[in-house]
Amino acid sequence: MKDHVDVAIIGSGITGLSTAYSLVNRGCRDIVIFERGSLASGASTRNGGGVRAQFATEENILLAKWSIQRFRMLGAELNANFWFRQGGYLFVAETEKELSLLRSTTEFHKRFNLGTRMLDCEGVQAIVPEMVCTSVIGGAFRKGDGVLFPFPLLFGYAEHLKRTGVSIETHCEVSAIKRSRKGYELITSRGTIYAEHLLNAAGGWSSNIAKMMGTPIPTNPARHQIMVSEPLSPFLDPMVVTLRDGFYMSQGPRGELVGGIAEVGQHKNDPRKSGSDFCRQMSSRIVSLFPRLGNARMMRQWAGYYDMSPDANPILDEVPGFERAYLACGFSGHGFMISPAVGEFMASLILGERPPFPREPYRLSRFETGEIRHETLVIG
Amino acid sequence: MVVDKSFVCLCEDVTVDELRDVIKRGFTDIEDVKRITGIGTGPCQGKQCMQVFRQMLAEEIGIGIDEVPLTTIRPPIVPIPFGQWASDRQGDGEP
Repeated sequence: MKDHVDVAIIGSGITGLSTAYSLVNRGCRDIVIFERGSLASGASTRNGGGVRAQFATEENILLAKWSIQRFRMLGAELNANFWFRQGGYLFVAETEKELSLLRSTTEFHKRFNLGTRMLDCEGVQAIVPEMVCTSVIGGAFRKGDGVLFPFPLLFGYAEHLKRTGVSIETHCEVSAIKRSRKGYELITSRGTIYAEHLLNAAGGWSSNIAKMMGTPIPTNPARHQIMVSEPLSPFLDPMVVTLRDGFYMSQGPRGELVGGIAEVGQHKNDPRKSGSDFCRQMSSRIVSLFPRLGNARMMRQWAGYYDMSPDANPILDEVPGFERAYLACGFSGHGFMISPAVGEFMASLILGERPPFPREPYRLSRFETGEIRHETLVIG
Repeated sequence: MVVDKSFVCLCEDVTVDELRDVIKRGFTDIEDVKRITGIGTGPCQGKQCMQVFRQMLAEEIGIGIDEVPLTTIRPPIVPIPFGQWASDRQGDGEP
């Protein structure tokens, strides 16, 4: 391992990889990415691949809209087919309160030209003919949203980065971070390295890394579970989301159903442990909405972390008081889908350039000044 | 080079050649190879292929099979119909 580097990134998840990719594209190649486990082994390899611009805050909408455009080109750039399919996202309302939330977000989306439209019960039925709509009173739909398969994108980034000379140190834990004369000194399980710039992109472990630096941040990991079915004939075009219980489900390129639900009940917040209560809860919802799936089988189930921030919006900033140390965390379950924009944002900060997005809404200091807008469309 | 289209993973259609190619591209971590090829993540969840896969990986990188970790075993042990889960009302709490 080298002992000096221009940029050290902690975390080989989609945020770290995407930032490294943006840096490489702008000519900065002296980068080391540190990863405690296997490549991208946190939320990036555990998420459902949903990609949407339908959010309730401008913060997430701006990043998501930009990212969707990029996802359309990234496959060709990386020579990696990650099956980005824009089948749309359908948000389903079963109460008047949920319907009015969707009306207000759909109205808000007009400012950004997202093309989100309200549907009545028949409109929902037309898009998802297999779904029983007895409890459904309406929904919101945006065609440009969709799903992708995370693995080929992650490994596509990793291969591309390695070819350009970026080193990715997997199974290498950073155990201490100190300030040094020209930046930061990182003590790792493979030795000490000095970095001029440092990025905390550790996802569910971002608050641990911040604590290590002596600057606590208000992000907290929250365990969520997800499952995949055996492959089935195609019947589900969009990602379906119900607001009542955070249920979401889409059908992947091989026909498998991928989805999750907001868990009820207590648990120990350990992503290594997944529980059969989730399987019962998820399956009950699946068969009530899609009775024909009663005989379809759940194949595999696992868990991972959402790195929650207090307002469920990301923190993209320089660490206050720590020059050239940066934070890209608190993605609250949306990190993958906004990663191309986040990579561009962070690369700009690292290179001392102006990001293509406003800086203020993503600053860490917003939690002290109280100027926060809470993202309400957090699913799962 | 000898072409070997023998299937290692029958659920996800992963062949010997495909595994060799991924390893040759520099991915030797069992979790990486699993995620790139899908090996062991189909209906049998690796029960048929995992030992052959680990042996192959060990040979290709020149280590003993015991040095290749197992991938995480995920529930359910066998695929279970949604209808069966849904009618099972007994909670088992958090493991």
